[in-house]
Amino acid sequence: MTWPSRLLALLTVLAVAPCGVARAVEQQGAPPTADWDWSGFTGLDDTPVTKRAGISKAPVAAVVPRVGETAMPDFDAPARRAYAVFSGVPPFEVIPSQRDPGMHPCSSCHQWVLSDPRPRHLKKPHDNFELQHGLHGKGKFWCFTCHDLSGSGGLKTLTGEKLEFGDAYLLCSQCHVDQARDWAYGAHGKRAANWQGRRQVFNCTACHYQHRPGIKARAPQPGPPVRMGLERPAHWVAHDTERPKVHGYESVWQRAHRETQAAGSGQHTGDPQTNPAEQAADEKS
Amino acid sequence: MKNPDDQNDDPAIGDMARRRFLQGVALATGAGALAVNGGAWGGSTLSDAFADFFQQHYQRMTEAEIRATIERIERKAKRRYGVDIRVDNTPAQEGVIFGYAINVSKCRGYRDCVHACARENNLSSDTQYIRVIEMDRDSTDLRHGDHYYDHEQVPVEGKYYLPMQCMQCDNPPCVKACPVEATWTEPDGIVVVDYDWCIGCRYCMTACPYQARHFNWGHPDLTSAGLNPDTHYLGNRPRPRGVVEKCHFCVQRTRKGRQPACQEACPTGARIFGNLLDPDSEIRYVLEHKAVFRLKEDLGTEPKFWYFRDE
Amino acid sequence: MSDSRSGLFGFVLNGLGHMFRGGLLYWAWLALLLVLIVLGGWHYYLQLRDGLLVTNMSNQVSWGFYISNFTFLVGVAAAAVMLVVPAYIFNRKDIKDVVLMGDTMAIGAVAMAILFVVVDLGRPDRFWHLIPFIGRFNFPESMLAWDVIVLNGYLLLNFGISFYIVYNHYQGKEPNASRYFPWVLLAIFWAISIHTVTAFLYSANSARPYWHNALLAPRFIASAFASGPALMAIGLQIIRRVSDYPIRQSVIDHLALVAAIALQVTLFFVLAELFTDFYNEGEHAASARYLFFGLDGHTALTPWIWTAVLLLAVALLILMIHPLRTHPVYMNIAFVLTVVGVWIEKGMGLVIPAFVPTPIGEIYEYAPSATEIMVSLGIWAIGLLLFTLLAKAALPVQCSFLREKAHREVTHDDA
Repeated sequence: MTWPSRLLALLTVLAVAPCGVARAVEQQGAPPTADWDWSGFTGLDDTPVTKRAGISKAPVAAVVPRVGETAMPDFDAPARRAYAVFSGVPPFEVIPSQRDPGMHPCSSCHQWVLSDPRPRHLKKPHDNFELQHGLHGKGKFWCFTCHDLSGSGGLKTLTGEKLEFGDAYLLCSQCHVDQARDWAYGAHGKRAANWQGRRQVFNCTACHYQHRPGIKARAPQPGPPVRMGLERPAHWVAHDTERPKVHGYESVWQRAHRETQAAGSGQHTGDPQTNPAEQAADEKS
Repeated sequence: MKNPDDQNDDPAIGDMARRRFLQGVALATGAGALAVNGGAWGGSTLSDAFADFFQQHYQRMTEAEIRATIERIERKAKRRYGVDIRVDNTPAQEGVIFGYAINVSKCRGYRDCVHACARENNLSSDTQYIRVIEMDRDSTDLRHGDHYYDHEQVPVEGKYYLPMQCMQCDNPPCVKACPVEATWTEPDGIVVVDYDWCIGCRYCMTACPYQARHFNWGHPDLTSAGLNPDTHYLGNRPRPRGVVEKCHFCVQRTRKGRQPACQEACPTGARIFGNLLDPDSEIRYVLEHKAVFRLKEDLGTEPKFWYFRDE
Repeated sequence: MSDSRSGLFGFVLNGLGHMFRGGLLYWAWLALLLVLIVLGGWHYYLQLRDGLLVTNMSNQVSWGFYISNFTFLVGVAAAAVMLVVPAYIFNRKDIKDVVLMGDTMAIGAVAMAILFVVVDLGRPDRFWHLIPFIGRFNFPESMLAWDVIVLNGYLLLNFGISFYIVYNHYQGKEPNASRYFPWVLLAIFWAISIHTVTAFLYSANSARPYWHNALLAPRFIASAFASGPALMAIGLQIIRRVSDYPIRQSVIDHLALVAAIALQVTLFFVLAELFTDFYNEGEHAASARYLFFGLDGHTALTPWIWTAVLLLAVALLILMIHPLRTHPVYMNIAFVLTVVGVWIEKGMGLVIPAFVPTPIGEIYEYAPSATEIMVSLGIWAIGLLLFTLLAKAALPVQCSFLREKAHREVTHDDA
């Protein structure tokens, strides 16, 4: 997507879902996100969530999340409890997502057509969309976990409180308490433009596509150059598998890795999209 | 964290506008550059050559001398590249010591930071301040790392990514090594180089445990179109041949409150930068709440550059 | 001798006169050196024009052939002390007669060492930044600043002492020992210090485990006392052959013995270091492994170091066996092997591996470029020319003084 169309999309979001934060940003004339370089952004991970590792953990008894504490998702707790992580945080403003709302034309039908509230795998005409987030497929996660069934498809918390799209981070923080806390204090997510002055941070959905939040693997930019006038040695272009082991020995990890790979016969193909360790990392991030 | 109410004071916005304007000027004058750029020394005049030769150490110059030197640097850049650069001399802010932290769980090895840095800091095409090392998941031994990974997709199974650049050590061995005091630590903790004082002995490169220093073996191959005109004396101004340069935490940006280019470019939010003296800063939160580590701490260099993982 | 001839002016004129008087062989030698100097100069001009791009150094291996030669030559310069100590402290007359040649060689070696640093600089035009007070001299923090002081100081000391002695001899006087002896003592201390400081220049870098050990300075001195005397012995024998300067065989034997002992100590130090590196091999050993066995398939330096090991082993064998050490041919073979062996071990073998792998684990190999080799040859030619001319000027003075002295002693005995 080109830069101007992103800006257009952003302005559309601002028009469609005007919230306090969005207005504050609009008043400045030029949003600070304009300097944000999207050229490297090529999309999101599209591995189905049900195929990922680490999903099997069953929800445990409800815990009230507190700062400094990790909690399992508490689907029945009032959403506001999760907000506890944001108290005492240095002041910040949230930049709305720049994603094109046209990507999700659900409401163009469902403003007239009544939604079927039963959790199920979507069939025609919804088969162009698959939810790859949370416990979908285990009957736990569903469009109306986060979306308002009655209205125009706006957001709602687990307890039914309505939220603006710009407040998506409040929705996310219901489950992702650790990440939300880190985000609010600046250890997760991205602050825009400056380190000093107004703290403006990107919303969760700026980096994580809400229906498929894992971040997609992509090609790296070119590697290190060699000094002018010198040759690139051959080993610079060799791939890691062809590269000789460090002074002749194989580390215990490399050996373990090789042996399990031989035993598992292609269960781990080296394809980054089916890498369990990484998927676990994705789940967390 | 300071939160000035006046919107016009926002350093990011004002800076950006000016930069756009200067970039416009740069493009407009780019064509003229070819005509001017004929001489072997960039067409420098005799008086400028003399002034270059006798130029004093940055810390020994008076205000007026610095101003004259800056004008001369701008003139030389105009002659060589046909670009109106602006060489800034903003001093360190009071009560600020910069620190950096990288979340190695988040870094996915895209190298976006590397190239954003190269563009921002007017690096020659054969120089990169940032090196992203692909590491085995079981190891922090840099010798097991791969500097030249070139996969179709990153991250790769069983690997993690460790970006390295100047650690802005609090006890920098490079500064100690320099025989002419051409490199020193600024009050905001940035280790800088006076490119016009360095004699090019490269002893600092030998002393640095992080391979953070880079030498201009030839003249940097900057192009008029790619030149970032918004520069700082101790930062990204065009460098001469035969001197050492290094990452300076984008001094031209960070002293005005902006983020370093690498942090701004990072698509995963793995990079965290801020004022170590501000208890509300993001960097302080990371240092106080995350299990952080530093590289080669055993050498006593006291890097102001931390790494951490998501638990 | 008339008064006008015995003055300083006459002394210099006399020296210059001797420098440009000689046989065909002498002129051919000078011509060869001049050709090499011109060639080296031309390549240095190219380096000035194009920058250090013309070398094969890189950000990974940021010091190369120049600094390797510098290191070796500092050792040679320091080794003059192996003549000075027996001559002045132990008062060995035979050595006292030739000690001047040791000083002259030290002057040539230090001059070369300084030149090798100058050609390595990226900005030689800013050399004045190194001058204390005018520039900004990072003393006593920087070991390089120390090195600048000790090298220039050593050059001045040696030049001063030699000048004083030759000038007195020129005037037919015995130099006043109370005047020059304190300076000789200082020079002895200084000779050890130039090599120690140069070793500290390397071992100060905790970033480079290959250098960062306490044995480096002792190892430097030990290998310097092997290569220096060997080179000196070769030089003295050449002088003995081309001039009528009375150099006794006992001096050569003394130097051979010094080289033999120093070589054994060097070997012991190297073995001690290899044991420590490889018994429990860790990070510290990566460079040594690269040097001796190659690292991850990179073996550029392996043939060099094994050549050096072989040369030094053969040299040691010859020097340790008494009949071989005193044999005129085998002895000289041993000297040549020692010089070449230490040149490899102390130069390429000591400087380059510290950069491979880099502190962050990168391997980028290095071999000197043609430019580096030509410039280095030019500098060696400058050093040899300096030594030749100084020796040529001083030798006749020394010869006539020694003859007169011998004559005086004979007549004194007669009386």
